Amino acid sequence: MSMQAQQVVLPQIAPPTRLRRYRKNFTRFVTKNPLGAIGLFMVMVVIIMGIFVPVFQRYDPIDQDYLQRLNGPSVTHFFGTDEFGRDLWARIVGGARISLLVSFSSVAIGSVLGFILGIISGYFGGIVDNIFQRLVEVKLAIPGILLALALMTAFGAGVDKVILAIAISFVGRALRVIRGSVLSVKENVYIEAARAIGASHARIMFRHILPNVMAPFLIIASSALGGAILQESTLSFLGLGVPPPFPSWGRMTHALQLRGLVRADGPLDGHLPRHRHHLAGAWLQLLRRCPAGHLGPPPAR
Amino acid sequence: MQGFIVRRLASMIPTLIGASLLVFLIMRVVPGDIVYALLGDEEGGSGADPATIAKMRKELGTDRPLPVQYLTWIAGVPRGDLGDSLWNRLPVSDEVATRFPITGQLGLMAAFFGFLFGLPLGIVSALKRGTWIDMMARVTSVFFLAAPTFWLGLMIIMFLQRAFNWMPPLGYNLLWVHPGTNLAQLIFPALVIASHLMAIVARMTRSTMLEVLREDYVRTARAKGLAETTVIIRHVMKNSMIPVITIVALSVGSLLAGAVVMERVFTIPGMGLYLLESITVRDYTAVQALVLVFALIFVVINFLTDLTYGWLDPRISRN
Repeated sequence: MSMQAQQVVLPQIAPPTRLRRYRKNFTRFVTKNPLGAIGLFMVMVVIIMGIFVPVFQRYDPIDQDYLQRLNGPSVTHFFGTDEFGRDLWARIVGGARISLLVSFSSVAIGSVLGFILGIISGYFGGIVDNIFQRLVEVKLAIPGILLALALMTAFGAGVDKVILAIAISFVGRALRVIRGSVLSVKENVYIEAARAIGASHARIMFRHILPNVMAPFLIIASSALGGAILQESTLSFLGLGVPPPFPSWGRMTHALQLRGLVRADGPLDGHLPRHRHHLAGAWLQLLRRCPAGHLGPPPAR
Repeated sequence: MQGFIVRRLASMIPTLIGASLLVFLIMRVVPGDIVYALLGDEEGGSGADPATIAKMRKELGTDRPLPVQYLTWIAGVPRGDLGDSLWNRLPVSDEVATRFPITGQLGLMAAFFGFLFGLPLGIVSALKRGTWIDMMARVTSVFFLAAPTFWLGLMIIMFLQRAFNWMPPLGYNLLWVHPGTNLAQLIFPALVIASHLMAIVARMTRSTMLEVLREDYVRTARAKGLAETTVIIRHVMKNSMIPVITIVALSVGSLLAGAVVMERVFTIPGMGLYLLESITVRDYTAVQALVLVFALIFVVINFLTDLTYGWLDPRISRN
């Protein structure tokens, strides 16, 4: 009877304490790291905007209305319309989705590839490592955006190609950082122990080393996100990124240079997309240091 | 030291060969044939007369096998022959020679301003750690790190135009011929590129200085009664510079990228604008040559950085 009572009581107590712990952690995070908290909040705003695009827009971002070209802000079109009569608010919100899609997928592809290759390179050492390092050196000799430009010239336009071009420019850096961490992790006694009990190479690499290089990986992956957003917008600004008619912050800015700058009385589209956009970059930069603290010891500063 | 320089120079060669191979291959995976692209016939189905196509292939040398094409191209590079432009059939190297000083000046000015503003910002931030000054300095650097360069550039143009009804003069004037016009053209793009570098320098200076400030020799220096400025300059600064220079060398790539973008925004006829124009007209040989030139600049700057390591910390060049 008493056993039963305990079983009933325990689950009731457990959730509040856990909740309280989360809340305490969160409060501590906000007070200790206000910049990070602001960043987290802003990133959440952009992500929510990107996910729930249809809720925020009254017009389709690619619908053209030639009777409403280059209008200033109004009640129906919050930010006015562009040269094709497309609603700028809808395009800005839609641009969030494209921006997030491109940056998250390119970072996911690029960093994960670099992560795996970095573990292999650091773990095996010797010739394998040497080959990988020479290749990375070659790749790093070509500045990221130029490599992406060259790739876009060769591939032609397309969202998938933008993702690939940006992803490739992240592989080298991730590989190098992860390899460095693997080199120090693999000297630990538990790796030796794993080898002594006959674990396979794959098992040591992915069960024993991988969790221990997760923290640096998350740091570089999250810092790469801000960079990816910037790269996407830069490519689009230069006319080699997300192709029309998709809304893209970079290309909207370019449209401004073609037209808006010479029109002193033009609509607001010049300021807003870019403004919004660089905020997203800032938010990710601010958030950058957050995940590190929650996984293992902080990196040496 | 000499041995160090020679070894370091020798290690640059395979990197550059690899980079040239990479660029060459990227330019050759172009869907279809360069000739079709040039004739404006992407599918290669109809239109152009086969005899013309064959003639063009022979002229451009694309009828030969890839390794031969690569070797002919790369053999010319050490002699300063980067190949001929597909667009106007003129040597790319001539164009590069006239445009290099422009991009060079822009890059040097940007690097100068980046350090000029970034170092004091980082130093103040580290010395006043945790105060509102530190907070402001960090917010400033995060802002400039996150702001896309093209956005800043356009904002500046727009501001100048609306507030003063003035725009930087177009084109490029040589510094020693029209110093005033030259600076008016380059100062704003240089400042925009510098803002990014400044942010990187400031962040890195702050974090390494905080680390060095905790060292025993800093406490010793203070204990033996050195003036605080002497401690900071002689002991803290000198030992904080290596990581700062490393990170700056790594961000030279973003400096070059910034130059490319700024040349487009401010219409400065440097190498970056040439690259973008070549991409627009699908001038593959010019693109491949220019990317190689940018890679060369990057590698050379990294080499120079390594030399400064040897100067800052003599232990490095010895082993």
